[in-house]
Amino acid sequence: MFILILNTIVSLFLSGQLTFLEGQTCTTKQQPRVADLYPRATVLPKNLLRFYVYFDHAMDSASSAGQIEIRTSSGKVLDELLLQSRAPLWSEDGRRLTLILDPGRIKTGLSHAHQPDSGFKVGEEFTLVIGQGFTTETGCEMAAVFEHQFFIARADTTPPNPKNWALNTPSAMSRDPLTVSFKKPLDHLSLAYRIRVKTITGQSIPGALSLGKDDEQWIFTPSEVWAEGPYNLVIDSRLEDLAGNRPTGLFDAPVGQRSTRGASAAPLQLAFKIDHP
Amino acid sequence: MVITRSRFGALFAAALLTIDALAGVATIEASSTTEKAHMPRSLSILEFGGPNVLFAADQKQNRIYAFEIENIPDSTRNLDITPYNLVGFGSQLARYLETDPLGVTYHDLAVHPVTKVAFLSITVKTESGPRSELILVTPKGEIRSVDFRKLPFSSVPIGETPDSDVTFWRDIPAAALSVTDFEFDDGILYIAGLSNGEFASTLRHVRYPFEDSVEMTSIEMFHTAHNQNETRAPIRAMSIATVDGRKTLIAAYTCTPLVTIPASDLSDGAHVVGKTIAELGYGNTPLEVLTLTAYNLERQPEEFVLVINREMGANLIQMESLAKAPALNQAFSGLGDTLGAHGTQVPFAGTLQADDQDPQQILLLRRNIDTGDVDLISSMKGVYFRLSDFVSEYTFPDYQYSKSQEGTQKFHNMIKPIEGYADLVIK
Repeated sequence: MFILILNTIVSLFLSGQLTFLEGQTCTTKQQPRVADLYPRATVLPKNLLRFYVYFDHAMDSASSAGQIEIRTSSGKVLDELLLQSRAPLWSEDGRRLTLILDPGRIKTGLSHAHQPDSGFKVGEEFTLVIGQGFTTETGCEMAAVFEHQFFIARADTTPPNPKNWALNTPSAMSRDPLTVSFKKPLDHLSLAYRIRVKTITGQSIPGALSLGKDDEQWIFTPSEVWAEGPYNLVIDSRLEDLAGNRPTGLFDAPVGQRSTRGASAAPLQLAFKIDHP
Repeated sequence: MVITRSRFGALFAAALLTIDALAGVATIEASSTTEKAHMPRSLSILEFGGPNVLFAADQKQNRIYAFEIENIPDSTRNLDITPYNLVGFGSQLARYLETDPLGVTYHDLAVHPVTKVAFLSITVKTESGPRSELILVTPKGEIRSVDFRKLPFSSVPIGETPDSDVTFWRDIPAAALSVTDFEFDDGILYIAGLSNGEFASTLRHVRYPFEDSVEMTSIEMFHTAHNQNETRAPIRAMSIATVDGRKTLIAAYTCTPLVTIPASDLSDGAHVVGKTIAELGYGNTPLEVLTLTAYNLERQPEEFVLVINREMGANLIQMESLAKAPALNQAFSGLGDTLGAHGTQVPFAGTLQADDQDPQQILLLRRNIDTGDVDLISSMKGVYFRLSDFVSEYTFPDYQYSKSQEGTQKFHNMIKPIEGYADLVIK
């Protein structure tokens, strides 16, 4: 029996399905991988505010130190591009890590002296590298280094404006989706949490969300069939685009110009009607 | 005879006795609260709410906890004005925890207001995964782990509550707040933090004993180095003090503006514009803002604000100059320069965490750049340095102080025993 177990372990190890880490055995299944990365778009604004990295296991929150890099196409590592925090920005379940691009680096209007390395350059390709040293809560290292290539486009300095959104409304008595097209991608968490369909009396309509066209489309399928009549698309004023701009103002406002207001701004509403088929 | 740093180290190591049981260990009853669903899982930022309450942020639960610590530690033992000289503390703690020194991550340090016992929140790497620990340390180097999961507590949520009406295209946890600093004043806990889902300068505040809701104020400030109104920059470190007769929040931001806001302006839903009174230099993150009373050069007690930085030396600012400082509202492009009420620099490099210890000392958790170890050491207010950090001619037992150095000699002979080197006093 012992020989049989030993043989199995040896063969798993030789086939690469088993690794030994600090006296610990991790099977391929136990090794974490990057499951998702947002924004999904591969062309991102120069003033991008954040990345969201999803892992398929609950991770050790202390293991992110020194494991994340942004490289230029020639392989040069861009130092200090990401905001340092006393505690890394993990979700409660330990599966999502938020990376904030240091606002001190992406801001406009800084004198050249404050940007010894200008970070992102328009038209160039960059790679976000998630190192293999990330470990799960039980100490298993990543199966492989994760790399994500993206191109940088000019900075987005237009606040998201719900008035410019296009709504594709379904017919009453159907469960067809409502599709909202933003004309540019929005922040990942904003897409999940900042837009809701409500009745005109403010009651939330339950349903399922999905996205289309690299996060430029928000698709809502109701749990029940649509009733004929007026509805509101209710937009929390904290909704952000990829650069952190909000409907209430830009992330980065020039001196003398009022920028985004805080938590106190009232939600915005876009009225729409569901018609008889 | 040459006295080397290793001899200093050996002396300290000899004085460092790890005693498992601190005096006055209480039997801790399991929490009697009804909050079983919100049992604490991890600790990061710490703050005392008086001698019997310890506030702690739990990022895994996205909540703030108030632990009742009435009998921990023994409040009859007052260690006021007792210096911490625990050089090599990191290795001692690792030995106590039966782990490697690199297996310990330090989150915060808070000094108990009465007993002056140091409370540390740490994470230890174990074979079964990372484990959050609350560690108590006395100036003698006695170390004890307290099971915070068994302490009576109350708690309040700080993140968003996900709605159950809508399902997503994948599992998407709601935005959570990573607390960067706490300040407890006059029954109110102020909470600064960085959200993983929105970039906001929202300062949260909640009355203790905890009420149902956490109130929020958004704060706007002018960043001279960036030439922007940084409406949404989050506060990294803060303190509450009386400035010019008004209770005032002193907040430090990344890269590094120092801003004052009257505490009376911080009401729920308000949008407040702070007054930027100093620019402490670019490429820097503030770690702590402490307000303290120390003796000035005229040997009079005076109020100061001490900003301890991650990248730069600490800034010691007279409260009076902070109160008188005009608002900075012009762009500033001097690279590396400071502006406004920036005070003087004091040598606190390598500091990981710090807290006000007692009327005479500040407690520092500091990376020792010679050994790479972590030291837990007191720094005297007014002096802000440790003589034993340096090997100089004064360290030689046959050093002859000249007549003109009488003051220096007195100072050295005062500070050597405080730092644990009574044997090096030169009479």
